[in-house]
Parts: sequence; C-alpha cells; structure tokens
Amino acid sequence: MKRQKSSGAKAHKLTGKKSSRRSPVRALVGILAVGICLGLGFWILKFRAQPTPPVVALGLLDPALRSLIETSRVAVVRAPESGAAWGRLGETLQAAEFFPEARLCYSNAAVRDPQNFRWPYLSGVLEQVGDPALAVRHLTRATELAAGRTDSPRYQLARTLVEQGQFDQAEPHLKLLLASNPGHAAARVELARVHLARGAFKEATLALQPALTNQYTMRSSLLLGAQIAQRNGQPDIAAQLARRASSLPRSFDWPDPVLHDVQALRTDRARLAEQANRLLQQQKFPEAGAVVQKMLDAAPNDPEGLLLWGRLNYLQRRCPEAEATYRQLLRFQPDSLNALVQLGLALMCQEQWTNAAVTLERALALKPDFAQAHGNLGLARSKSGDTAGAIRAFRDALRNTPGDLAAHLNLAEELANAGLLEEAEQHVAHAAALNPKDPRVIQARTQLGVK
Amino acid sequence: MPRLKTLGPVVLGCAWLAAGCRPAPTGPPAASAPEWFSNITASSGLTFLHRAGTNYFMPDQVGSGVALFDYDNDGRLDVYFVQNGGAGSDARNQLFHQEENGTFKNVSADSGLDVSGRGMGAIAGDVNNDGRADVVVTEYGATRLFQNLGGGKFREVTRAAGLDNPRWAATASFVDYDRDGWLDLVAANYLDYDPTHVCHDVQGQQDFCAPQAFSPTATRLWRNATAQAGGEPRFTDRSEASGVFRVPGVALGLVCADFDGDGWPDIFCADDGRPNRLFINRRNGTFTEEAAQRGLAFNAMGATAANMGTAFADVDGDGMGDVFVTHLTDEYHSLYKQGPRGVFLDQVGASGLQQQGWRGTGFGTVLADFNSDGAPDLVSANGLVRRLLKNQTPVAAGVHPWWARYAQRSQLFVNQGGGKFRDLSLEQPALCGEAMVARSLAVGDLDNDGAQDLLLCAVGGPARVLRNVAPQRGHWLKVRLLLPQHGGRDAIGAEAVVHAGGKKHWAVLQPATSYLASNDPTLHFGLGTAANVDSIEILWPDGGKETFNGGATDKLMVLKKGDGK
Repeated sequence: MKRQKSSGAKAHKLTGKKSSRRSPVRALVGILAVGICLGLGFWILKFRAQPTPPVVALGLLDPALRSLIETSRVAVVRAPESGAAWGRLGETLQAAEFFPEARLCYSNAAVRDPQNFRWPYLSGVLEQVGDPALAVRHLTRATELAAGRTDSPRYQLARTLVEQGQFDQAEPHLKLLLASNPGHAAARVELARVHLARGAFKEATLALQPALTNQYTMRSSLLLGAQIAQRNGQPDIAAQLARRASSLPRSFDWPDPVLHDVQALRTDRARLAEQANRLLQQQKFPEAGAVVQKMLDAAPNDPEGLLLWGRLNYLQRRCPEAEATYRQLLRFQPDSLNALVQLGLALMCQEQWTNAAVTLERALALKPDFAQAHGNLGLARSKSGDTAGAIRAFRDALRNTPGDLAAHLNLAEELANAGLLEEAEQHVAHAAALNPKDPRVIQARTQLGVK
Repeated sequence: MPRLKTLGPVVLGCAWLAAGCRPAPTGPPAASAPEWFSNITASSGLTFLHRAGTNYFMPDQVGSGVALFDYDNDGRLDVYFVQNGGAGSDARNQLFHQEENGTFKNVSADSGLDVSGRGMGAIAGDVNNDGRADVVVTEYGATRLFQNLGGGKFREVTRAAGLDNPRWAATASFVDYDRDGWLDLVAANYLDYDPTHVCHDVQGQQDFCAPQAFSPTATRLWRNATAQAGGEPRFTDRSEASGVFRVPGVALGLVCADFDGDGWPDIFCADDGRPNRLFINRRNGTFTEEAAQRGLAFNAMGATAANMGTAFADVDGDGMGDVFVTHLTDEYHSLYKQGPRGVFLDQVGASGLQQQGWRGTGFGTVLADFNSDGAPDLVSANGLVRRLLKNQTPVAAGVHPWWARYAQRSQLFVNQGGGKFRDLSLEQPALCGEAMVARSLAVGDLDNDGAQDLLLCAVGGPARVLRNVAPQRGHWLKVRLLLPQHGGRDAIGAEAVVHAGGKKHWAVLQPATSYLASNDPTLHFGLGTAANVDSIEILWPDGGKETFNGGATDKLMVLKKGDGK
C-alpha cells in the first residue's frame, strides 16, 4: 500500500490522475494536456515578456508633451526589452499625469533593468499616498539599489515612514542620511519631526538648528520651531518664529534629480505659464520674456500668453504695449475679467482716467465683488474729477475687503473733497487703527488735522 | 470532469497571467457583517434633488448643504436643504417638517425659506433670544439671515440686520465670542473667484479650477447687537476691529469653539490649499492668528493641503477635543490630536486612517459614536473635484450623468478605542456602496431612538437619509443644553463632560461643523457598558460651571443653566 500510494502520487503529479495503472490512451491524453498547457504557458510568458506599451488618449494633450509620449512609445515598440525605454515612457506618462500607465511602464522597466534604482524609486513615489505599504517596499528596494550613490530614495523612504507614523523605522534612515551628508537639511527637519512626535523637544530643537539657515528648509524649520516652542511653554518665541516663517516665500522642494527629470519633461503651456509667473514675481523680465515668447510662438493668441505679455510690458512701464496686448486678447475674449482689469491698469498708467474707469466698470459687471477693481475704479474716477463716483467705488472696495488701509485713506480724501469731514476723519481713524505708523496715515492725519 | 478539475487551476492561472496579473477592479462593497446604516430616503419623505450647473462654474461643485434643526420646538428634528441653481432659478431651498409619525413633509411653500440662489451652506441658531431657531444661508455673493417668526414662517432680514457680505461665503457659524449671551456670526469666505477664468487639466481637458488660481478673502465677523430678547435682529460688522480680516484665507471648513482651554471661543478655519487659520480669542473683542505654532496650520509633514470639511471631538478619550480635516484623494486627511491643552499634532499616520479600502476626496465629515461604545467613529462624505480616469462605480441612481464623472463612495471608519480607526466601508452598502458627488453631511438623531443618523447631500443628485441600525449598540445619553436667561435657546459653545463607568466623555455643543452643515443641537454620548451616569459637568458659554446629577442612561436629559450645582 505504501509503495502503491507513492507511485500513485507520482503519477498524479505527471498526469493529474490518481493511478498509473490506467489505460495508455488516457495517460497519453494527460501528457498531451500538460504539453498543451506548458506550451500555452510558454506562449503567455513570451507574450508577457514583450507587453505592448499602454495607449492613452493624447487628443487634447499639449503638443510638446504629446510628441514626447509618442516618441517614447515608439522607442518601446522598437526595443521592448529595453528597461530604459520603458522607464522613459513611464516618465513621460507620469509628467502627463497618466499615473496607472506610468506605474505599468516602471514595472516593466524594473523587470528589464533590475539593477537600476530609478524604476522602483519612481514607482515608490507614485504609490506614496495611494498605497504607502507598497511605496515603502519600492523605496526600500530603490535604496538598496542606489547603494548610497544618491540619497533621494532613502530620503523619500524616510519621509514615507514618518508620514505613516513609523518613527522608529524612519529614524535609522534619517541618521544614515545625515551621517553621509551632515548638510542634508531636509533630513534634519524630518528628524526633528520624529523627536517632536515623541515629545523630545530638546532633541527636536537641536536637530532643527542647522536647517534654519538652509534656503530649502528655512520656512518649514521655523514653523516646526514655532510648534516646539509653543509646546515648550514659550508662546512669545513661538509667535515670533511663526511670524518670521509667514514672511518668507513658500519653501522650495528639497532637490531631487530624478523627480526633476520627470518634471522637466513638462514643457506645456501651463508649465511655461507657471515659470513665467514665477519669473515675473522675481522681476526677472528678460527670462520671463523668453518663456512668454515661447508660449506665443506656439500659439500667438494664447490667452494666458497674452496676459503674461501684457503684464511683462506693464511691469516695465511699457504701458501702450501692454494696452495693445490686452486689447488684442479682448478682441476674441471680450469677457476676460483679467484682461479688462489689466487693461484698466494700463490705461491708468497712461493717465487715460475716463477710459480706465469705463474699462473697470466693465470688469465689475462681470465680478461685482472684485475689491481691487473697485479700488482702482475709485482712483480713476477721482483723477477724472468724479468725486461722488470715487466715493462709491472706495466704499464698495471696503465693503468687499474690510481693513483695506489704502481704501480707507482714499475714501477719506474724497470725502474731505466733498466736504464730508466727519466721515473722512472716521476713515482716517480706521486706517490709523490698522497701522498708526504708516506714513500715508500720518500724512492724512496731518492734512485733516486729526489727532 | 476529473480532467477539468485537474486542469482548472492551470487554466485559471493562465487566464490570470493573460490578464496581466492585475487585481480585480474594485467593485461595490459587499456586506459581510451587519450594516450600521439603512437607506430610508424613500420611506422618510425627504425627497430632495440637488441641482447644479454643468459648465465648470466653480460654485457649482462646492455646494450645497443642509441644516438639521427643530424650527417649531416640537422635539423632532426638521430639515432644511440648500439649492444651487442661482437667483431666479426654480431650484429653491426646501424646508421639511418632521411629522409625529417620523416622516417628513415638504413645507417650503410660503415658509419664507424657499429662496433661490447660489446656495452653499445653512446654519441654525436663535439670534434674537426668542426661543426660536433662525437660519443663516451662505451663498456665492451673499450671507442671508432669515428670522423665525413662529408658525413655520421665516422672514429675510439680512439688510435690516446689518449683514452685508458680497463675497463668496461658503461656511458660517454662530459663536458668542464676547460671552454677552447673544449669538454672533462668523462667515469664513472662500476665494476671490474669477468666473471668466477657464482651467484645463494637464491632459488638456477643461475642468474645474483649483483654488490656487485665485486669491484668498477676508473672514467676516458680526457682533450681535440686537436690542432685547425677541427684538429685531441687529448685527455690527467687527471684521476689521476684531482683527480677523488681517489673515485672509480660503475657508471651506469652520469650527468655532475653545481651542486653547481658556473658556473663550476661538475660530478655526480649514483653508483650501492654504495653511489653516486659528484665530485665538484675546477676550477683549480681538483675535490673533496662531494656527502655525499650535500645530493646526499644516499637515503631519508640514505641508499645505486642500483642507475642506471639519469635525471636532475627543477621539482618544483624553478629555480634549481633536480636529479632523478632510482632503483630496491624492492627499492624506489630517487628525490633529490635542495635547497638552491648546496645542495639536497631526497624528493621522498612527491613527489607522491611512489604511483605507479606497481613497476619497472628503468634504462633509462627522465624528459621532454610531455604535455608542464610547469612542466617536468617523464618516467622510466623498466626491471628486477633478475627474479621475477611472471613476468609482456603481454610481447612485439619480446622479446627473455630467456629475457622475466626479462621483466617489463615502467611507466609515470605526474607532476601536484610543483614536485608532479601522475602515469599515466595505461592509456598508447603504452608506458606502454607491458613488455620489457627496458634499455636505449632517448628523443627528432623526428618529429620537438614541442613535446618530446621517443626512448625506450631493452635488447634482438626491440627498440620502441613513438611519442608524448599528448592531449591539452600547448605552447612551443625549443632553440638550439650554439657556433660560436667553430665551431658552441652545447653549451653543457650551462644553459637557459626562462621568460614567469610570470614564469621562467630553463634547462641545457646536452644530456648525462638517461641511456647509448644521448638525443636531443635542449632544449624544455613547457610554458602552455603563448603565448609569455619575454626573455631568457643564462649562456654559459665559464661563460659568455647573454640575448636574446623573442617573439612568438611554434617555434625553435637558439641562438648563442655573439648575445645576
């Protein structure tokens, strides 16, 4: 029995039957079935080894990004065994926010290029919110593969662990990052966050110190420092740190060359507009001009591009050029609120007060709660001698945005011009309550004789 | 047959390989455990279909809300739904009266509340201390006050009362910030929207604009200046004098309660895509903004996120209120736990709330003890703000096809104690089984059975009434807090601590939480196995403290200021 059982078990393994003492025909059928299945399995595996790249709807996509995806897709079709080609396609799809498709490409890239940290890294970053446990697995693998050549995978792994509240698991990674790069300010911030969560305020403060002077982490360090101080019973210091933080611009993300590569793939109009806006804020006019020109070269009537071009001219006091640009935009988008408001400013800049007022009134018909437009309308009417109209406009500005110091003072001035001194004094008093040291307040008080 | 049996796994394996080893697509939740909610919309009589435009006008996707309140003081909750069809539209706000048999009757006609507009939220509170709850409706372009005249009639008194807010007001709340016995009003305005601004997603398709495209606006605060009880409501604008205008924001969520433990109510604004704001009451009519240092401005990673709905309850039983704020699908929600008093830390990572069956864009949210075990559970009303490539199905019947592209399933998380949550959504077909563009969510005991029910509102679809049928519910106590000195109105802002079974259960009476909603003004405490209450401590809105005797559980206690010890 024992031997029979053993023999039967063996036959079961081969043919899927309970006994080898069956007819040879049935055994042959069994062998054939296994053969067919193995063949099918081989074919499927072969098929799987060369999957087709994902297809996405490119119809409305920005031409630059569309072309990039198409080129990358062709590269995969030509070299389906190339991990780099799959990875590149994944990156272009990620840049266009086709995330499921990008995941699939990274997965194929990782199979074909298993020693490259980049693919599990990008997979991990994609999973950070949706599936943090999977993200940790990918990022752990990427960290191993990176073997210290870049600290991005370890940093993202540590961040993911901190975000999950797995502080004990995150801490060694943060310490390793700091051991290899003591200047890794972002790791210091995360380490401080770990200490804060544990209530170790002294350690948190110490960890944070070097990050307070780093341009990438200054703001977040100040904010974390404010929290630590408040918890430590130092509310005044906390308030001071919070004030300092709020006076700083938004922090830049900690540099990450891999993610930078992916982000750099986006050269669409929206991204160019973001760049141009940032450059205009920094008053880097030639650089901004180059970016806006690129937008307009691709689409001469691009509304966003024209608005930026007009703004660029206005900020450089080239007001007639700004006016022409906004008028060009308004020819095909007559209800562009932004264009109307900006045109109003361009006209005011050329002292065309009546035209400016008419333009701003058109803007306010589209958006009656636009406080800034009410304020500008007040100024335009005032300059064109319409005191009553200016008073109405400044009142509307304050109605929409209480606490607008300039509107209070402008209204006071118009009220005084209209002989309404008592009410004018009230608005100067409002302005003084908002900021008694403001030179405009001091001047208004002097002019009106208000103490 | 034996052959098939043998080859079955191989064939299935082959099929799985051919399918690319992908997991099965997420389907509707299947109930394997008893449900906590039953969909009683049809039998309740609360038939309300929300209307919204389909042309990417941003206010369409933000509203609208619902208020649960007892406008005729008959002891049963009534319901007021807000519409979003625009001024002059035939889509009007609707008032439903709860009849003796528990069904609801539409009494909108001639109530004075059947107005149209770009409606956002609604809150209820007695502004002239006459014992009748009045109503404030927030709109894109207005904040409107309706005085309750009694007999089911309301009259709009916005202008006469001195309320003027031309901005896009999303969320509002009553608060007695100067502790003078009169309810003041906060409207935390949303953004400075440009209706001519057209937005596209990265893939080039038109979609709703993100809030970052627009500037923030000032929060408004009006002090109640009504002359005498029962008089004409009057308000004076204190936005400037109080200092709340100084830090503008983009508020969708709002909680007015005491956040620093000094007994004076503060103002917390959950700001969409910007740091949250916490205006701390300086007890002299002014406020200072302190969210950053108190740990409420940013999420656990120090980042700004799309903050939307809010809930305020003690999730871990330490006697202090914790704040929950909902976020987008590709962000984490925040659970700011308080401790020590007055400081918060987002501890969502350790709460279990990141382990979810699916991710959602949360708007309305409530922390309520649905199974009365003594630990508040969490519901998130979900619905997208931008299209996903793969939407959730099935979509609930009645959702407008255009809006179905934004539908998501809501979620329920059970609090297992100590603020550790587990996703129970898969077992909740009535609440979580069908995708909607859910926004407002209100909680209250609609049928007075001692269990918290839900009212879920959605953009471009029908509202849903969900009766609590959670199995093995624990003991409970409902507490109504009234101020006889002020017309007998609800003591909005009062805090209660129920001592029972060796535990302390804390809650604050602030109906205006969640998202564009006003909840049941009666406090509900789940007490688990405790069959007796030892005592109830009340901290009244004016700072006075009283202790009331306890007694048997599973009942409603009406506590009046002055009756305690």
